[in-house]
Amino acid sequence: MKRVLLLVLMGALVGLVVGCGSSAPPVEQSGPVDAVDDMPDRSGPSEGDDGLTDEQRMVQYLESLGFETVYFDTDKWNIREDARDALKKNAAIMADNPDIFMTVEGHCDERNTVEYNLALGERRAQSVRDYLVRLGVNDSRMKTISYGEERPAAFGHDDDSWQKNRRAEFKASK
Amino acid sequence: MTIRKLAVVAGVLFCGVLFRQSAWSAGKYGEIIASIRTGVFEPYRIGVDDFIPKDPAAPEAVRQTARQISDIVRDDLEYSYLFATRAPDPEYLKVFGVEKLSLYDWEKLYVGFVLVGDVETDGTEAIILSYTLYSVHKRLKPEEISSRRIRASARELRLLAHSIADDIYKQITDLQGIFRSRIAYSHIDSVGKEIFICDVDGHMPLRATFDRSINVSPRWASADEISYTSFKGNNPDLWLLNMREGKNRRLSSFPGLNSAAAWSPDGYRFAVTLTKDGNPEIYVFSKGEDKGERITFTPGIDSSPTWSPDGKYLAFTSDRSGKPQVYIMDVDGGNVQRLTYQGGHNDSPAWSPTLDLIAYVSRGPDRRFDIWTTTINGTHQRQLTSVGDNENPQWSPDGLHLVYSSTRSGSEEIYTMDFAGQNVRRITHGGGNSNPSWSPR
Repeated sequence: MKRVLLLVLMGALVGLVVGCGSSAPPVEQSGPVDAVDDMPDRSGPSEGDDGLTDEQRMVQYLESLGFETVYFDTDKWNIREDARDALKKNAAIMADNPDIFMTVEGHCDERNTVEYNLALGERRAQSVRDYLVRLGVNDSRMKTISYGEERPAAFGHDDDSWQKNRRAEFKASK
Repeated sequence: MTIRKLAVVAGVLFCGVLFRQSAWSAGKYGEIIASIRTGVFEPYRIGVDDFIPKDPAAPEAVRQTARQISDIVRDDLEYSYLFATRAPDPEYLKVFGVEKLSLYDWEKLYVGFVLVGDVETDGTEAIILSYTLYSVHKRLKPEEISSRRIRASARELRLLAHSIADDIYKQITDLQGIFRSRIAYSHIDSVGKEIFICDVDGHMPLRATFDRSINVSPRWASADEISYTSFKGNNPDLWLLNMREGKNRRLSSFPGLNSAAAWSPDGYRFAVTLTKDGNPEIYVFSKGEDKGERITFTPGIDSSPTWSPDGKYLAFTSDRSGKPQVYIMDVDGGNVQRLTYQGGHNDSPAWSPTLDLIAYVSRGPDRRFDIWTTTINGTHQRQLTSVGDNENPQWSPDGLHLVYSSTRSGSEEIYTMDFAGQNVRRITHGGGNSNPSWSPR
């Protein structure tokens, strides 16, 4: 994990250099607008060797942490037996990366009304957060948000899709 | 309806007409509602003649405009539940051997009222519309009830027609019509969900938010304001859109959920579901004040509040029994009583402003969701829908109609129906329409 962080830092440095280099000649406005847009933006995020911006690299890094999604039964928010290992793993990732924060997103399937699902999704996110607290993750490093039925992972209208949608997802941030 | 069928019901209707005349002159909102509640209501019978150009030599476009206005008025009144309308059916014209029905002819069609109108143009874009409402009686001379002349922009033809329907409705029933009320709903596009608003008959849909976010649960706070829950601030906050001023401001943005807002009938308070103190609980706020009062205290979910017409009680959803069910409590949170027992999942209550009914959504044994109504003491459950998933019922301001979303056509659309589940009308197209709410008048 430390190596990834180092990479991020190096990337940022390279980005800075590239940014400075491009500041010398003013951009000619005569060419097509597209060409101007392709020029490195001095004020915005800078690019490294891999063609990624710092921001993209950070997203990549945070995604590479590998949080596992957990699933719920219909109308329920209790942590299922099959979710416990995933949550242990997520707690370990939090322990290994003491500088990151986590958002627990609660989701529901499309059945139930919008409002009830927002409440149910929140309850699912909270129950996951509480479980992670018991596994030693500091409460202040976690935030919950419910999307109810608004952001499905699967778009079918059947048991299989519904199960995939009754879930808690984890998003890391710094 | 054929002449033969008309003859069959003639005797009954004759009595009805006499009764309605006296009721009309007395002017009584309570009487009508009471007769609807007890199931003895008989609709007012009105003949809506085709409106015509005042000048017989007017161009065809004027004839069409006139005709369109009377068609909308007739459609509105027929939809209202309180009226049964008649058009000047060619069959009637043939029977009477006339080109246009006289008031005496109309009376023979067993109507108690007749509306006639004409349209003039003055060379500008405006139209001048005159209409007269008569009451007609067997063996008596027709009586003029009222006559009006309006000048209006031809571009606002639908609004003009709805306002005529509202006027006629008010004059005969003493109730305020709903024909100029509007319906707000969520519409999914490629980016997220935005709030849209359309006329009560689904015409003139307009986009009200441009947030490129997820906007759900629109609720009318007044005729000009809609509250809704939006994720645009990276948290489900409650926002208030003022359409008159074109302003959008946060009403409640506590960490966690700020959802399912419901406005008190007087518009001064709202109940809302927050998770700021832990799990989803209901709070009541006065508009313009930051501090609300928490009124539920259970470890599970309490959500979806709806106000009684007198503002003293709230119905809401709670899963305190293990499954979502509908409960009623005092507005301070006291005296909680469970309302629904049938089925394992009852949610989304909506309290009729006039009929002492609560509409709600129930999941049946086949796992579909249907709209039901129950009386407020929990008796007389009635299933109003039976195809597709039907959700989010909300009442019209007169309490006689419900708007809801349904998947019966294969995609999610907004429908309206009367409180008995009849008179179903689909008002959106194209799919991805949900979460409707009916404006005040």
